[in-house]
Amino acid sequence: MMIIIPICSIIFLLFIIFDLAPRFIEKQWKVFWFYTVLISFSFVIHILVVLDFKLPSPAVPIKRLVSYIFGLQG
Amino acid sequence: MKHVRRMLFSLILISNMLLCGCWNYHDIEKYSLVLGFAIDRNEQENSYLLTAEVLDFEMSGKEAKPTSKLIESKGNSVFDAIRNMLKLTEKRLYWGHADTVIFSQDIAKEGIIPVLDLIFRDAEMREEMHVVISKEKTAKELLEQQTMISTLRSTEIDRILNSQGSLAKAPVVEAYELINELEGEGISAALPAMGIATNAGKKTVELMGTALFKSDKLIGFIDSEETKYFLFVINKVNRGLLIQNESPENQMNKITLEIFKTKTKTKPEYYDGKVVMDIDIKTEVAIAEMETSMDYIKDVNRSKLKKDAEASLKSSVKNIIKKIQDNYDTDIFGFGMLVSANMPSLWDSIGPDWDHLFKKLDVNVNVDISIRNSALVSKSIRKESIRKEN
Amino acid sequence: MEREIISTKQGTFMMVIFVIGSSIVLGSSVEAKQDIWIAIVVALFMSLPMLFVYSKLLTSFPGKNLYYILEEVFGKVAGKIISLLYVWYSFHLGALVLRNFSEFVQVISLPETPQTIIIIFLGLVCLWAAKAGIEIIGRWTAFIFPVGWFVLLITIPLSMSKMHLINIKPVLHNDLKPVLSSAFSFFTFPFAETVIFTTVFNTLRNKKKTFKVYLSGTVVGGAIILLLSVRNILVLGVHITTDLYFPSYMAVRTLSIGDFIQRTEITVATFYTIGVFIKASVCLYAASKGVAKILNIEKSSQIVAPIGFLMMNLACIVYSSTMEMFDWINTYKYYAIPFQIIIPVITLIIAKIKFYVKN
Repeated sequence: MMIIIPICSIIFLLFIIFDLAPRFIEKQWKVFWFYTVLISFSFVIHILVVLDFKLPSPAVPIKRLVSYIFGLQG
Repeated sequence: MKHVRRMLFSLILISNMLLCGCWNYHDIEKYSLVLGFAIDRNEQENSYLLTAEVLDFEMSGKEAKPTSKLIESKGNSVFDAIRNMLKLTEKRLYWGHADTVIFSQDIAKEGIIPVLDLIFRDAEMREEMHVVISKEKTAKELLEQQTMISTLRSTEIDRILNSQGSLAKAPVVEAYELINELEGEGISAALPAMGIATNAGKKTVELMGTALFKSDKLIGFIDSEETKYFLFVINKVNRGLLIQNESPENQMNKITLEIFKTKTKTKPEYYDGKVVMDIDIKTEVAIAEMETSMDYIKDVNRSKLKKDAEASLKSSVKNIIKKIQDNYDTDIFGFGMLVSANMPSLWDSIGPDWDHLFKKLDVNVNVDISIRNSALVSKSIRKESIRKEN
Repeated sequence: MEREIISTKQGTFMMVIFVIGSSIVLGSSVEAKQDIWIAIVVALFMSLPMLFVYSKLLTSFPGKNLYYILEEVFGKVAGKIISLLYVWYSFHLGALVLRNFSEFVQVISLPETPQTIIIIFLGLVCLWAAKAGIEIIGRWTAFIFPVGWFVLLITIPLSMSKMHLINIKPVLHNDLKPVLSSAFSFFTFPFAETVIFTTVFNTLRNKKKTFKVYLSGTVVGGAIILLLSVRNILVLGVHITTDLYFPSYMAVRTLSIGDFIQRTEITVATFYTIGVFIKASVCLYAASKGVAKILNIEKSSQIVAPIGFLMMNLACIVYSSTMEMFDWINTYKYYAIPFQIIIPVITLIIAKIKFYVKN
């Protein structure tokens, strides 16, 4: 299971080098910051998922909301 | 530079697609194929005894000859027993090629659903496995007997069942069909039964008719001959033979008819508060063997034979239905299902009471046999004296 | 803005694969039992007016996609908020599709492989496709579709000998209500999911044929789903079909002709992979288009990658078990209503009123 972490890291690293770095060079700051924030966030979540952290699923609140609005049971 | 970058990138992506299947790769040498298995129940210990027949190779000279080995293991559940086999063998067993499963009578009497669940649920086992009920005391006995032609016991059982197309003496049921029958309303399951017989000095396995179920519990057996007529009712006869006496007085001389095509249409009818099943059997036969000297080119004789054959098939079919109704009271013919499919609103009212109604159900049987040919010969071999008479 | 152009044929094929994508394996709605074919036909007819609404939206603003239309109609702020909703919807849908696929793979063949791995590796391919743009996805679809549908449909005549007509009887005996409820499920998943294409089909070469593309794509996709569902019922029977998570897979699995055509279930899995790939790529493409529009980023392809990674994350955490996934289908049909019906209809009405006032 732990082998996923290096695999993921390599994939993320490749994207950072080949996809993110050109944005920095071209000085597209908006794209660059958006990219950086999102990809670091994804990376953290990936690691947490691999380490078996129980992350809350967005499906649960949505389900509750939908059942509340439509008055469903369960 | 850009070129190299692209190449590298696509290489990684492509290998991603190919490699993700290798996550839990297994070498084929580390696996043994299971050909079939038998499940017994140990009442005292409340455990299952699983006997698997595993493919093995025997080196004889330069060639490898397939043989088989039996592995037994116990467990609290069937899956537990399967996993416990790892205590015995160095190799893991692969169940995807198992094509026969044998249940012992004990299990069948207690109910087969708990055991069947694993076959249905497990991803490795295939749903088109053949299910067989052992007529002997245990199921594993069947796997222990000698084989006739093939060297693999389970494979031979599987082939025997597959060749029922030209014999029609056992219902061939695959696991998924069985589940449908168990879950369906107005139909009960019937499975092939096998037992041990001595054949030319060898103890071997033989088909011995049909095991009858009520819900998921075994309640009795019928023999091979009766099975044939049962198969006629449920329209599962493909080929097969009909044996006909020349006349009621003369039981010695028999005429064998080979079925080439047969179709049974069963329709429920509802007359003044009673359900009647109309069974229409249309059969095309050919004369395959004759022990008499009758001349069947003659119209009179042919229509007599046709009538006799029709009458005897009709009475046999009626008898088997009567027998099931009187002795076992289980709807293996699926009459209830036909009613619920064709007259759904009627079924809503009579469905809950079907067990009771089935017992007293009236059946109309119509048989239409047409004699297509008489194989290569127009007349049979006759002694000279008879020839002169004709 | 980069200009991308797809032909009518590519658009139609993309739509067909999008529609049958995940529905060919998931036994989505079981309430209708043997009347499932009626439910599908009803759902198709139910989706026709919605398809008209979607294509009308696109033809009213030729060359513009949904996000642009929303800003035009609702103004800058409200438009951006509603756009964000659509970004979430397509993002979420893409994640669900990826998750369905990984569950399928795990259940049928790789029970010990962590789903994360399956999601990452399929997700990366989708990411690549979405980054390359809709033109590439369109061309790839046009190439794979002719092979795909043949492989998919050839299994129907081959399993003819295992079909039992009695399985589909009695017709319409169990009340109309479960049939309608099933039909609604089929309407939200997959027919009206084509709302996502409103963010894509501004790239169609022939703008006048938008409705034709919508119609033929959905009808052909619907017909294939119909054939496959009826096949499943006829081969397996009602009880097994409703018990199984993946009935199509099982129905093909029972197929064996002689001893040489058997174990063909891999064709279903293959086509499913193709479908998931297209569906997730289109969703990802739609989501990144939306984000680009909201943040005023010129090239949406530049931000596909982080959104794609986030989508894979969501796919990993969205359900904790297979059972939960199949339970979600019941919620989904209500959850999808605002995105599929309410917002498009309101947008079209307001747009028409604005046109009317202007002239």
